[in-house]
Amino acid sequence: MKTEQLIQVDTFCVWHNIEFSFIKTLHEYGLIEITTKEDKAFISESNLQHVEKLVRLHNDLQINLEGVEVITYLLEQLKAQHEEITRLQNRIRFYET
Amino acid sequence: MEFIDYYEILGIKKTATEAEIKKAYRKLARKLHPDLNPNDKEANKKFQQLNEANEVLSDPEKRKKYDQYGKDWQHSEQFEKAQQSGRRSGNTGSREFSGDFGGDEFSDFFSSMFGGSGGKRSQTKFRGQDYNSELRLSLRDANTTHQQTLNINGKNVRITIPAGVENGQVIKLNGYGAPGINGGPNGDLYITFSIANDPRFKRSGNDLYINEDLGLYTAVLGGEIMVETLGGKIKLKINPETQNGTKTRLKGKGFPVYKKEGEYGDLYITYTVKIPANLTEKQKALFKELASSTA
Repeated sequence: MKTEQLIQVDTFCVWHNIEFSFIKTLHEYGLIEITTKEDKAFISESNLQHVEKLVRLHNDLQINLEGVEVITYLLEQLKAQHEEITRLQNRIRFYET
Repeated sequence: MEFIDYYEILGIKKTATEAEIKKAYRKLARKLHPDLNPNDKEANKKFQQLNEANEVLSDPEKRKKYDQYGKDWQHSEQFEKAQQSGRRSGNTGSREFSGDFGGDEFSDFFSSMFGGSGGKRSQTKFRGQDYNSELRLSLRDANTTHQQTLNINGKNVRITIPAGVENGQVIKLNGYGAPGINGGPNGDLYITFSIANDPRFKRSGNDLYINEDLGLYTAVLGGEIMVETLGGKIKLKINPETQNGTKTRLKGKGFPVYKKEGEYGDLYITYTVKIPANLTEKQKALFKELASSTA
């Protein structure tokens, strides 16, 4: 079974100088996953980069949470479209060679 | 070194107020921020220029120096020495972004004019810059999980390439980018795979396609042939009266499915029946006999 590192939300908040409530709200918006163990909230290591990105969007660009939510959705769409383009380009390549 | 027009980068007039600079910066930052432009080198470069422009123009002292020397900025150092002012920029920490820019990302122009890589440095933690790299593989390389050593900015990085990567696919290696600043996290390394075409195998997703020549007699009478797959040679049974262009599918003999161990696509074989050439008189007579018997 694969084990996953967990980062305590409190530690994350201190590191990034943000309020715990911000992470809680991101979770309430369904934008991030939080694992709770023994009354302590954790972020999984695999989710860390995603959470950091949302923090940057909010802090650096002063985008409110609704905006962050929309951007996250659009970035996911963009990623899916890029993958689709790659797939189609490879299909074209298949017929061209 | 070329003169860089910071006002032009921010799209503002030389008379712009601090508020106008801030507004222009924010507007462009929202457009060019690396988190909003993943894998866009051009946007990342522009974002760095934008930060540099903001670094100078949002600091009154730096802006004054920049405005004073303008295109003759090369002489600013001599002038400064003559003045023996020994002035150094303060640690104002006006940079506001924690995105993809590092301490070494300022232009030569900036370094010459203001010294070092920015002259000032806030104690804010900055994430290191992301690196992008292209890795060329043959189709056969992509067929197996293997390790390769990449040289990224003079540093050897050994990576494991999972079997089944696609042409154009990008993988991210967390923390293999430029080191973070002031204890910030390292950037990431993005690797784009470029998979060369193979002369024998054509790939579509996880399926492979090949053409296989079939002798006339084997096609007519049936038999066995050896077929080369990516996993080695296999023996195939050919049914009697196999037509030219007949396709057959070998389940699970295609390309490995990315990150799904033990799962493979299929191999599609199209048979091309080869008509014998340079027939002897006897062979021609036999074919004629055959033709008359089937007429």
